Amino acid sequence: MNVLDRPRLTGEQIEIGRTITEFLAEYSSEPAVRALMATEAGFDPAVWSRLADLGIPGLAVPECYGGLGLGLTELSLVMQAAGEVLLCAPLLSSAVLAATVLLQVGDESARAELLPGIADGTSRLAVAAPTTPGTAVEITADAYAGGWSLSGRARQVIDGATATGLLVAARSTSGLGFFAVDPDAAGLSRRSLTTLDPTRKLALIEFREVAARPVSGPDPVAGWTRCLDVARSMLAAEQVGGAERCLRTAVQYAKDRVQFGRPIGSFQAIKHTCANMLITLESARASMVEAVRVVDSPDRQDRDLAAAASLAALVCSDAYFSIASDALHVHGGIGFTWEHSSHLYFRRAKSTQLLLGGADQMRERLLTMAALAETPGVAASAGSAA
Amino acid sequence: MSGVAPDELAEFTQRARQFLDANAKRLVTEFAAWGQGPDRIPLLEHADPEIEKQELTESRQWRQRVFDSGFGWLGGPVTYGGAGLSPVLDEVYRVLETEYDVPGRAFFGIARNMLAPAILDHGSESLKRKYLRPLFRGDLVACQLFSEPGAGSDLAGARTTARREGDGWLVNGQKVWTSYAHVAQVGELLARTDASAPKHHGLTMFVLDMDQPGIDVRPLRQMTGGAHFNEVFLDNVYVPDENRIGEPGIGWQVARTTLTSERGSVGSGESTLSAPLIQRLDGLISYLGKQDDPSARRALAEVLVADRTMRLLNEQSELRDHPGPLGSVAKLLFSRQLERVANTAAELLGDEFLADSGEWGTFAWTDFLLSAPGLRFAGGTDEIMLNILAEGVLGLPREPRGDTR
Ligand SMILES: Cc1cc2nc3c(=O)[nH]c(=O)nc-3n(C[C@H](O)[C@H](O)[C@H](O)COP(=O)(O)OP(=O)(O)OC[C@H]3O[C@@H](n4cnc5c(N)ncnc54)[C@H](O)[C@@H]3O)c2cc1C
Repeated sequence: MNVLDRPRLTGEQIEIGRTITEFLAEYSSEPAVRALMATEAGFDPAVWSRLADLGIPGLAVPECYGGLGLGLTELSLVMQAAGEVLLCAPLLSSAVLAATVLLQVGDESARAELLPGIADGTSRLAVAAPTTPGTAVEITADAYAGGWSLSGRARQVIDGATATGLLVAARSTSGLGFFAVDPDAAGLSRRSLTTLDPTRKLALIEFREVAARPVSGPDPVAGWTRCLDVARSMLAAEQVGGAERCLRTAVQYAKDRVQFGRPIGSFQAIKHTCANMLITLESARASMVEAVRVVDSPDRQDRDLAAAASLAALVCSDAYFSIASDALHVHGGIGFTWEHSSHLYFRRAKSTQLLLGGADQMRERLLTMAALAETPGVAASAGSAA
Repeated sequence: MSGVAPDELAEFTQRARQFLDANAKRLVTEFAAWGQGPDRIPLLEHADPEIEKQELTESRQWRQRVFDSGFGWLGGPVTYGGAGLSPVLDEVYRVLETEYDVPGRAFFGIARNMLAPAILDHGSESLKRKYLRPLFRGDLVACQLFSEPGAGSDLAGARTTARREGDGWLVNGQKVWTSYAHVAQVGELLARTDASAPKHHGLTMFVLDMDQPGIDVRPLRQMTGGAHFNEVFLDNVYVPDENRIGEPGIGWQVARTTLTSERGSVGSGESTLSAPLIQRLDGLISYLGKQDDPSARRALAEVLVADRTMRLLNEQSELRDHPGPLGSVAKLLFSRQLERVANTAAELLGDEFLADSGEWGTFAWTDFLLSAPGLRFAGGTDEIMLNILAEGVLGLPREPRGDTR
């Protein structure tokens, strides 16, 4: 199958895509994914350290903090390849979310201290902050002589149970701030949750007067919003990768499976389902490529980032879920079995659809950003949306 | 944008703006203010014949002025009347022009996006010299004489014949659904020249002069009430051999060039719903006082999402190695978007949609709704687009055929 190529890549970027795809074919096969999803840790430290040897977690971390200093475009290629094979690794949590929090919200000393560990893979940080616009922060930060302490709880923290460090959003009398917390600190408890998508672990973390160190620079609220938009763009790349794999698998099955003396792919109901999946995939890819372009443009405005990331989040989330569902359907009864990979993508698709804000929120943001007309219409009356 | 250096683009944009500023009024967006501007939301042109004639004259004069000032065919080779620049600039110019109050270019869409590419790809040197310049200059309105009563989706089954006669060919048969045939000077004619060859190999393409005896153009009234397309009866019509596009027998290939280009242009910027139209939908929501109504907000957001995605896909397809099949994607997305917009407007208006109250910007949407189904046929139906994507891009097996190849 000749899925249409992604436009606008340089030779070096194509090479990165190829390297990571080959790596993942070897180290993230379906049996490996199935083995890891059954473990509590949910990732393989040996594979993670090989990924670190390739420089993957530090791909987009500036060189002065020990990274390779490439762009998020390069990281998006990794996310896409990881999404294709459902890689079980703290890529989204540490390399995307935590690194971006430090770069967008963190102060200089926190960056200098924490980014090198993220970049070389020796630390795996998780971010405990509400990822859905409008969700309240359930953690308070209190200053006491000589330091800060956190109390409250954080739900659905990606890779929170296995992280070597936490970046926690908490509310103090001076507003929202981010804090670095040692997961082994007294008063902290964390519990791995049973998840819809077993290939990505989520944890509940409770804080009872846990010692914490503030890491925010100025305006953490705007920084966190930017951070989520960057993460949405990277997640969109993961979704496109997964959707592309689902389409490819379904098309291959439609060519191979014979019923009524014909390959099922010659029946229009199946053929057109596949063609519609292609249309959906290409639409998703277009929105993702644009979001990644905006993320990586040096002179981007927060508003442009928000608009492009919301669009990509909406389009890629819906695309992935509908493609994963249709791909499952093309497979017939086999697609409904535990042994078949269809449900793994179906689970991943639905859970990524809700992970960083749902469709309603993304639509509202888009309307706010749309600047449709000079005259006041819906766009102008939109309430504030983070 | 690919193929144009940033400073070249800036220089061009400045030059184009100078021309436009000197020759046209800047549009203070047509729909930005509720209640201003014409109370029409057209999708297919179908004004009454007098108005249509007037509009054609104005459109032609404007295209000629644009062409003579060097902006008519920026990507075309100089030998044939083009400016020899990057084809990307044609799109840049088209978008700039939408900011000005100038006549539309719909009359010349077939000339530019269908007949001209076929001549460029397959035509003889003399055909290129004869037709390309007037097609781009707006001198000639073209129509596409492909579909027949017995050959729609199965276009290769066309039965209109062209038979050798002296230095040329004699054409006999009937075409149908021919948009703009009533105003066209030339037609791109698909005819059977070899009845003994398998059906895809017996066809030949011609440029037909529409102003000659033996051609009878009869308007067909469409469901909107207007007459945008026609039946065309061809009775011993003469075509000189020099008007053949490509070798005898390769007409199907020429048709495919034309159709690929057509689909690309249907879905692309050329007919992407204009931003003002979406503003107008937004304006309708305000007029109805539904700014805070969740379902109205959701509907508008969905229109916006589809609109932006289509634009991005079109923009990015220019940067792809093989943009061809994306034309079919673009066309499908476009026709789905038309229905989405039309149904959104209808749902918002509720029973105000049923009868013309005289209120600006309300009943006008009915025309849009009634035009939308046509776009699912023109240029190849939805099902044919899906077949092309499934078989051509995904490599799924063809269907068993019931015809004799
Ligand atoms: C507004 C408008 C403008 C047009 N302008 C022009 C023009 O300028 N020049 C011109 O030549 N033609 C023009 N057409 C004609 C257009 O190209 C045809 O209508 C179209 O190709 C379909 O052919 P048909 O109408 O004969 O329908 P049919 O081919 O008879 O199709 C009927 C139905 O069967 C379906 N069908 C057919 N074959 C298949 C298949 N293999 N698999 C699945 N479903 C199938 C179709 O999708 C459709 O739903 C125009 C049409 C419209 C509506």
